[in-house]
Amino acid sequence: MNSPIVGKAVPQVTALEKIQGRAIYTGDLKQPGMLHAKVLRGPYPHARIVRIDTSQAVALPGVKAVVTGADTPTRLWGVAHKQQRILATGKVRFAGEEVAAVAAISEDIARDALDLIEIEYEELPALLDPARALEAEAPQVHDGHDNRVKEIRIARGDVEAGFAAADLVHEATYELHSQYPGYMEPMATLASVDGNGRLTVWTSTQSVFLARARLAEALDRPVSSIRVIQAMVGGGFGGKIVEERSSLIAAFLATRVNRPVRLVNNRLEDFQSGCFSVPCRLWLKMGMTKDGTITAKDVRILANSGAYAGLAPEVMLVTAMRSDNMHRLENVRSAADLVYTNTMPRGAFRGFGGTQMAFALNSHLSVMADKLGLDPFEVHRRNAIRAGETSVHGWQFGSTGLRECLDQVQAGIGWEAKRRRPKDTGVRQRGLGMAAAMHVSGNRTLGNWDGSTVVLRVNEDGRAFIASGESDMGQGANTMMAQICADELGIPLSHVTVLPPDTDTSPFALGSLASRVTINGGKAVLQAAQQAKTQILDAASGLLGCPADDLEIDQGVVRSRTKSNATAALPQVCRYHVFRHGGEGILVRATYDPPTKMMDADHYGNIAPGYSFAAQAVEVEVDTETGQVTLLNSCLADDCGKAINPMAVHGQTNGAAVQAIGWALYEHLQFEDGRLANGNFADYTMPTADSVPHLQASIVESNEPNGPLGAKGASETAILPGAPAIANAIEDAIGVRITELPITPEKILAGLRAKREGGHA
Amino acid sequence: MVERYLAPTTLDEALKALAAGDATIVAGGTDVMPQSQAGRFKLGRTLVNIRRVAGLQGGAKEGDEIRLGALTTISQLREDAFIAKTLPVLAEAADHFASVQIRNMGTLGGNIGNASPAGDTLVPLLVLDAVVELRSAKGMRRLRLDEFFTGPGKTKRTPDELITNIFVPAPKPGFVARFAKFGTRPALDISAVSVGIAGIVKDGKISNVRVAYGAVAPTPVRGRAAEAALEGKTLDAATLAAAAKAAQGEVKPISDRRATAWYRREMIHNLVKKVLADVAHG
Ligand SMILES: Cc1cc2nc3c(=O)[nH]c(=O)nc-3n(C[C@H](O)[C@H](O)[C@H](O)COP(=O)(O)OP(=O)(O)OC[C@H]3O[C@@H](n4cnc5c(N)ncnc54)[C@H](O)[C@@H]3O)c2cc1C
Repeated sequence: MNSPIVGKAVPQVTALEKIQGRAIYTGDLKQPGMLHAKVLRGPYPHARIVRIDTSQAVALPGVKAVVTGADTPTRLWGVAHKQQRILATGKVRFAGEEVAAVAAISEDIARDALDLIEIEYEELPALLDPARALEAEAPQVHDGHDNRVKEIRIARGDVEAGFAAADLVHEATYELHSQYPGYMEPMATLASVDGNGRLTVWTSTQSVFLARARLAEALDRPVSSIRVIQAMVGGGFGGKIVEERSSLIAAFLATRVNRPVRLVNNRLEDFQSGCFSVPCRLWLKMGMTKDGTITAKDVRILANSGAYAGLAPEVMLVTAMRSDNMHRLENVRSAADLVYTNTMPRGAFRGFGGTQMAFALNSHLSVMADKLGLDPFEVHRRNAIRAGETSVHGWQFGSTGLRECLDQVQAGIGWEAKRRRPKDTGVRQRGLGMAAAMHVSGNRTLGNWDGSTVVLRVNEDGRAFIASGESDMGQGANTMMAQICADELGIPLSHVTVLPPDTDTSPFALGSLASRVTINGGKAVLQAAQQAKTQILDAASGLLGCPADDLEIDQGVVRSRTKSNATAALPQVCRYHVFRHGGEGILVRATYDPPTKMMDADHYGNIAPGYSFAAQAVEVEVDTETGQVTLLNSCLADDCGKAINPMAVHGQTNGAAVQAIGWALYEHLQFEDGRLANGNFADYTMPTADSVPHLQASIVESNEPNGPLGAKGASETAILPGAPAIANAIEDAIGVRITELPITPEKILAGLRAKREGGHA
Repeated sequence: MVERYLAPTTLDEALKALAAGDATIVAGGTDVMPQSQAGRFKLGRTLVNIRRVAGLQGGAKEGDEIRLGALTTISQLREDAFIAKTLPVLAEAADHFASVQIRNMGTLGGNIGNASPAGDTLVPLLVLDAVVELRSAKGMRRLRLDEFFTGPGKTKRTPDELITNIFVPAPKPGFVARFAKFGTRPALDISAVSVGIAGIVKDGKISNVRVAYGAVAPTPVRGRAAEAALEGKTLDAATLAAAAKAAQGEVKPISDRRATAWYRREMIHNLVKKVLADVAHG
């Protein structure tokens, strides 16, 4: 296909307003009479709330409402586990949990009012260590329940026979830590109740409909009495899907004061209430034959959900089994336990549990390849699943670009030549490492529907409006939809407007999660545009007296393929579509629900219409005197099926590479007595430009049969291989294997010392 | 709670404002603002912004001394031609200090006033043998920098005193001073440890040695044992090793969020070796 728009590296349709500083984020919104909200958080990881006295705060001039847990609806909300109220009642289960909120005429007054709220706590023994959660005498995070949130047991084939058939069996335990999404825009919400009692909520969200459902549940009111509008979103990375709490507080306050209320987190507040990834301890045992064939894989996971369940059970399921599907495995077993602790709730994060297992798996494969004298690229290739095959868990692959990803990064980093060079012996030592991983594009998991609906209008001027509930959070969903639509309708990209998601006017949608928007939303756009095009050509056929199948649209003009003088500009055709007896404006709707199957009780099914792959190779340099790791090169290939917009895909791939560097080397949540000790960007150190090498991002187009124009998802997959590739390169450089993230300089020096002293750390 | 904001333009006005009591000095505000926002630092009733006070900027030679104004910004330390020529170790420290934005706002006086054990100008100033000039409405006094700090965030400065200048002896021929800091992230990170070493290097031998460490004690500290191991010695491999061992032996760091005590001592050992190699190179 030779399209002037699809496959072209065009700037995002939101780029101009963003670089001009004119994009309107929630924090920019103002309304007449608007109040400002601030939230009081519990200081203890676990404490009974004995008494709350808000009288002084209420008396402060300018304060319009002070609410505590007792004021909030008693209905419990939650993804699957209904267990939270809008503000804590009875006890706080993590340090930073929201206990009271104030709405006042200014943010300063609201903040001052927080200081006037008196709360008496009775501290309870806190459960901070997930390893202790299942002990009989461990404190109960939820009274009357043991601390197990979820247990998953999966077994296929014969793992013991697989180990018996192996030439090498290797086992190791990995510690995978929690990462903060670190988006530029902290959470923000503006909520307002109109004269009829309807609640409108503008918020930074990845899904307006899931936000509406959450609000309806937490506020205990009908879904249709709430309107959620997505303001411009400054990044989400999973943290703004379904576990977000501050929007509930803002909306609740608005219902109490009948005035608009805006709640904008500062960075510390966002750290305290944000959604971190799920940390876990992961034990892995694998068997392999001499030629690199994996004969068995056995996994045990202990994952930390924090104080509430949220999406963490789903995340852990991904850790437990997703990576099994990238290889032709027969014998696999997973035993995973998710436990509560008195720490902040954890949940969805880019990669959705995939990063945790990708680290363990790729670390393992690298060690085993070394022991068997094999190249890790060969080990991946030997086991790689292929298009047309069904994986051990029932996943069906219409396309896989895993092998091409491996080829590209192996060549791109100069693997062969660099592996042959003699090892460095000085203070600074270089090493090479690689990793590969897979992810879903779509997931039939939130119920038996993974569809997407698009309403498309073509106006009298021949320009198009797309209404969809799928969300652009910076990743480029709007640009992708506009490109597909413009391409199909034969109009310039600038003639397509993607309307902001609005639950009152957009068709129902799940939103931006599970890398599903391009494959499902893009497909719905394509189908809607095809329908609109048919209507346009039918109308033009009447206008021009040519059969519709002789007509095409090119650059906004309908023309006959055979009669050179038979042309009509699109606006003329679109007006004609209206202004005739029985006419109407062009308005079409399409829903694409992919041909996938939910997992059964045994976790078997084919959950996604497409599966995407990524591989990465990195070169690092380790300073053996300081333990500092510097990335010299990174080469990351993402199989996205078809790059609708290569510039956006590159942006996602490079961003993922950087976020993976942060998780691997720098970012490190730290607690003191269960309290977050580094909730700011000076102490929670994300990578800066100095930490990032020249990044090569390459695109593999495996042409997914289910995808629009062959496309699958891009971005989540690309975060998966970075951390293990770095760990593998470090071992190649200095012979030290780090199994516990983050890889701090201190761990490197300790590892070097242990190596010098003969393995006694 | 803050009730008054003053922005004096003369030293006298500034000192008068401080004499009135319960005042917080704000220079660049890069410590005061984030720390007070985070609740770690209580602001006084009066905020005294000293940024407009005349005569406290930049460096100049005065007799046998170099005077550095308290309001000299970290960016000036890095870019000023006079400082680069006479005290390049300060430019070296400034180069690894925070980010450009913070360097444009942050001042030398603020770095001293904040008295963090990890303050990045403090270790170089210690090896430069700096003296702090303090002025109040009552008068002026000078304190040696190595006797000025009493704990994290604590100094011998009384609340009515302003740090006005820092004086260091003008470097003698052969004088070399070098500094290195280490934080986990290559840019924009607070030092987990830092080392400064100065001395007169002549014919491969080092004398008048001063060694200082950052972030290994409640204040930045002099490394007397390492100094003794170096004084008068030839800068060869054996001396480097001995000094590094002495340094590692004399520091008593704590474990905190940035590093464990073990790692800090390891790093002092390795950084002393590295900085000495730099000193040997000049
Ligand atoms: C993101 C970030 C990164 C940073 N990175 C570094 C770093 O790499 N290295 C480093 O050393 N520091 C760093 N800092 C800390 C800070 O920037 C420095 O300490 C800076 O030198 C402080 O100067 P200031 O003028 O901003 O001080 P202020 O914040 O204005 O003042 C600091 C303290 O000194 C007092 N004070 C200021 N001037 C005087 C004076 N003339 N007399 C008496 N008391 C005075 C104030 O009352 C206050 O107690 C960083 C800070 C931030 C926010």
